[in-house]
Amino acid sequence: MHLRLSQKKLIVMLLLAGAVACVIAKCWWLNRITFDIDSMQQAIAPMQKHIKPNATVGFVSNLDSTNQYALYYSSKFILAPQKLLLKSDKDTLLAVQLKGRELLRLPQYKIIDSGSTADKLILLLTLNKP
Amino acid sequence: MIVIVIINLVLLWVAVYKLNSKLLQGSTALLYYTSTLVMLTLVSFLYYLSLVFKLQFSLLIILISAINLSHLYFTASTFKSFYINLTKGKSNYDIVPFLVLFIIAFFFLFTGSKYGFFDGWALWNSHAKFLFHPDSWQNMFADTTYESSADYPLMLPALIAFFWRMIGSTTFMVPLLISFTALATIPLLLYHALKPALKNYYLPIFAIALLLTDHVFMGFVSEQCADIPLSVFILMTFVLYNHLTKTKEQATTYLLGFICASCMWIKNEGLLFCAIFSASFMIVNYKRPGVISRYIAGALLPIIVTLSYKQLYAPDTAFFSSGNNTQAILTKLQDSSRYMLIAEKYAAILLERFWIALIVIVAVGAINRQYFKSVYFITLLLMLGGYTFVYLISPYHLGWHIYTSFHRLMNQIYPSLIFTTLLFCGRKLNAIH
Repeated sequence: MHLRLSQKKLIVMLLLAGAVACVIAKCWWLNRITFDIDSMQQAIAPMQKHIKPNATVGFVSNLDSTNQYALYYSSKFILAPQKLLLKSDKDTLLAVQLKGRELLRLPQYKIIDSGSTADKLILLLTLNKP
Repeated sequence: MIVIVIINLVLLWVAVYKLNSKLLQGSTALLYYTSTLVMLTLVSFLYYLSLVFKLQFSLLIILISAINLSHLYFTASTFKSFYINLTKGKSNYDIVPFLVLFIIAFFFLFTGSKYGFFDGWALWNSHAKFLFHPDSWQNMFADTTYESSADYPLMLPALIAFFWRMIGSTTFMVPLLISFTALATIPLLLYHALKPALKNYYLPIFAIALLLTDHVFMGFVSEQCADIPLSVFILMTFVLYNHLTKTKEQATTYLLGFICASCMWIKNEGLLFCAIFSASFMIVNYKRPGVISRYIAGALLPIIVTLSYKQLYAPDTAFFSSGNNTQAILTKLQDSSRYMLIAEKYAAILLERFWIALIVIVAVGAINRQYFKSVYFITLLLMLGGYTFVYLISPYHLGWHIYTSFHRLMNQIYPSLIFTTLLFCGRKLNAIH
């Protein structure tokens, strides 16, 4: 099939416009959807003001060590550039707990701030100092 | 700010285009691709250096503006020639690249994911978020566990952080659009590299069809990891090498060295590729010290930036820390069960996800056996050998490590495998006809 230059131009313009429209539509649609990480972001972001700029925050959760990785990396992504480590011996802790499971008891810590999502309770804790 | 940065990026691109046009003659499409890749690499270098030297983002933009101003005279003349080409209607409006772009965008519309693969947000975008904050970017190295991969090179995170700074927000759209663009570049580059090399439409379209019908490859459209950008740079290295061997245009060697060494700045596997390809290139050209010195001169900047980062900031790579000492590595190398497991997993994944690659290799074997003696095949084979060695000494659970990463590693070299095999097939078929 032999196409004239003007026909080719039109097809190219249509394909390009279609491609751009697909990308814009996808970005618009994704912007409307709230993913788990977005709801965690909404809960954790207000807590960042309580954390000193170069302080290191520990991370705990009520999941077993294998399953808590996703929660840890989500929290690390959200808290960046603040330092979050998968350690429970820090003066400040971020506790991300699934609501359906038995919650961790940390009596030596007090709550600075808290937030929640549909299935998670998120606490920022600091060590009780005498 | 956004407008100023965009204008500066365009001017920088044109400056790089002008420079590249002296190094790479005869192929306008290749010039566009190489100029874009070189420009993005330079932007990532400049952004990283601005963090190291604690330069404000506005000062970085002033620096880029100064570079652009010094080229303004030349860029103005280049703009003029672009305008003349456009108004003369010299473009023949090849529909295929636009159709490819549309198909990928259409696929993206239905399958694109907001945050990509786990490694995408947990590692690459997370690193980018650290780089977004110039005062505390080194907090990225606080987590020294090997799972955090804090030693990964910074091209992708630096580019994401640069564009985030440009628009003043850490929106998900920047890594998503970079991921989409990188994936779309591969079939387009394949097409534009194969078409002039083989002087026909059929094999380039066949190459595109192989990729677009491959759900594993297309699944990377919103991956947001550095595997696809690395794949683009590896493919470009082979394309430039083919251009160099065909045209004997010695100036291209600078560009080849730059693009190949830039792989080191993308992923640790890029270090492996750079070492293997550079060694192969030097062995082939050992009687021509001029060629080798041009190659090294081109590679120098990416090598200095990457090695300085590795030396000054990046923690030890996972494979040589976390108890994976010499004794442990030697024990693993002597463990036959690891070899068996790797062979078993390779066979399963290759047959399940990369059967097209196996068919392509068998077909090229039947058509042109010269391929198996070429630098292309030897480099790709040694890359596979390098991956295998890394698995052998891996500190991770071996089965899990292979299952979660081998398809990503294969996608780094898969487009190059298609390019090089079809190149040799096409040459043989052209010779017959």
